[in-house]
Amino acid sequence: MTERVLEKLSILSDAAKYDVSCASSGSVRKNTPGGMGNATGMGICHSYTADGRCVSLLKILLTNHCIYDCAYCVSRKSNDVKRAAFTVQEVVDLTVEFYRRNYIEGLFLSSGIFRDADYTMERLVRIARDLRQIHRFNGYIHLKAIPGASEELLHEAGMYADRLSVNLEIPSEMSLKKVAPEKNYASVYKPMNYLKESITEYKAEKKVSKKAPLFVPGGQSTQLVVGATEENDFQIMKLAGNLYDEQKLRRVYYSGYVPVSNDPRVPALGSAPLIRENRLYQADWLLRFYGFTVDELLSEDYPDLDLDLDPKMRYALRHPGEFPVDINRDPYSRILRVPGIGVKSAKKIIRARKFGKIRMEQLRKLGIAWNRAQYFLTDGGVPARLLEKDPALVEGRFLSLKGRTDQLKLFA
Amino acid sequence: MQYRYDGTYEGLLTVIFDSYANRRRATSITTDSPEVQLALSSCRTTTDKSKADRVLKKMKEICGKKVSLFFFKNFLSEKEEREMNIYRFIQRVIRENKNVLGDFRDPLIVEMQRTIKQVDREVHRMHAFVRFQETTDGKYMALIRPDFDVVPLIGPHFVKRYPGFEWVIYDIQRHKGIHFTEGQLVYVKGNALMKSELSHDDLTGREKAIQGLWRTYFRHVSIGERKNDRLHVQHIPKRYWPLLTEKNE
Ligand code: SF4
Repeated sequence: MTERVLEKLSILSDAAKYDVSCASSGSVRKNTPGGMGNATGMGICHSYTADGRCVSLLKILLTNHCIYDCAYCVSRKSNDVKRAAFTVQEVVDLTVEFYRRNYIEGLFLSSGIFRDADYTMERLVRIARDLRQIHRFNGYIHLKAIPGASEELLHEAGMYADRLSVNLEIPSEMSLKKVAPEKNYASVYKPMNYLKESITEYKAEKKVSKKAPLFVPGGQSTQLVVGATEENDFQIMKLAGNLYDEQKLRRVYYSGYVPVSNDPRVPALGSAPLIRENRLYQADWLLRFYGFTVDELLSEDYPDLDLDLDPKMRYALRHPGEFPVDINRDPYSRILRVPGIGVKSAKKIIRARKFGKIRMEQLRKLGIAWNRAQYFLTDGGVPARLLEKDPALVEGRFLSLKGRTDQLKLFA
Repeated sequence: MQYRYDGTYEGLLTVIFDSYANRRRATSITTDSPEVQLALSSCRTTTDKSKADRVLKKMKEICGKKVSLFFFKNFLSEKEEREMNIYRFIQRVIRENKNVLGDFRDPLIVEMQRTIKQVDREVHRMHAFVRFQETTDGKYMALIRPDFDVVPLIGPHFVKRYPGFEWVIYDIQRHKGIHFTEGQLVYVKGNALMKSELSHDDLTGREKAIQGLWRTYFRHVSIGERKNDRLHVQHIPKRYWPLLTEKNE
């Protein structure tokens, strides 16, 4: 590999880095005889960037040439940046060599639209096919499904990829029209629907016959850019809830808009809305693993997530009547609602109480965030410390702790 | 009474077997070291695999299969209290004749489960931080320096992932490692094959080129506007840096 590849890699990883999905989890693919690699379903972060994000995949664009001009995108046609394009072989070689050295879990390949949708998609598919068929590569492959690409190509992509994503990018069609005049929701939902149906079909087939081929075993994901347009959190989470329920997406990613643009169609922000992005991920987490619904977290009256308090704490303080939770009697689903108790600790509590009553002192040592949980619990004996008459007092306490609590950490 | 053993896992289980056979409870279990050898009352046990197996068998009958990894990982943690913890756990199981693995009300079990978590995290880190380097003799070499003695635990993952070429993962602090060659995983100790350092001359030309590409990639995926050193170090503590390709130019 030469200087030229080095330069392309600089340009095309730079351009891809605002794309947030790093996750390589959710797909299981076994090694095949004579092959290399596997996907374990766990996902591994092999390194972390200087800004603390997981490096799991070789995340690059095939090219940053693009015929479109989306205002929020670095690669937009009107932007004056250096352009480059990999060859199919170059991407294949980089993936194999990086994987072999245990740098990565696999490849996340996206692309600007070069000539037209099919022309671009065809190249993405060819890379995946060469990896799977020539190199018998069984690591993780995530491809961007280019809106407007033919169903034949989407289908072929699905035969090789672990995950496909079609990005909505902008959380409402009205805003999308403003910032990306060439795009519309229909062009995104069309491939998404096609993939949803195919995934369901293949899954059904797999149930009948073990030998049925894998088709996008890691499912579909999408990305929403947050802060480039004016949607509130309620609108965004409603959309996300719908994408999970109706479109059967596996993940929705939220990308705090990094001002890469002085395009007048998007706001000139000082910096990326990091805390907001983090809160959206927390809320998303509550939907997927904690049994919350969007309407419990947000409403027309509370359209935005609180930047100072995480959404679970916010929920608890707004619903003092639902607490305290009795750790010895209440079901798992209620224990999960206690701020400071994560999925793992909730399960531990359920296991431990089979051996006898859990007392408060024992609970403290169990690995829960006691400073938060204590107000919302009882062991049946000791009364809860929830300052029931006045949740504002508890709130005040947490707001004053704000500096110390780790705002950028997702709770356990 | 005070027991001593040879520092092996089987040795520890042998001691525990003997303590029951002799009906003499252990007050301490330690490995041979010059200081301990001075302790007069301690008795040195000879490791006996069949005794060790009997202890494990009994435990598995009561607690299920998972208990052997539970013990083994606690053992590999190299923590000072590991022997007595395992012993005390076995005492409780024998006394109550039931599986207590999930009794998080018991501080001993909370502590041992926490150790499991720490060991598992280190295994996970090694799955992530191993960096193979292609050497001129045709092997892929990785040097590691884990917090716990996790070499016996990480083999299967890499065998599944890289069955197609010869590789070595070597713990430069404990001087032991695993060598995958001709479809077999071999444990090696202080072997001549192993090096605690790889020099520039040991690496192939292609290796140097790929490392250059990887470093370039790593530099470019960071978003400058979001730089966050604290978070970065929390994910990759500094002690791992010397052996990570991307952290060394
Ligand atoms: S089509 Fe994609 S790559 Fe092209 S400008 Fe729009 S977002 Fe950027």
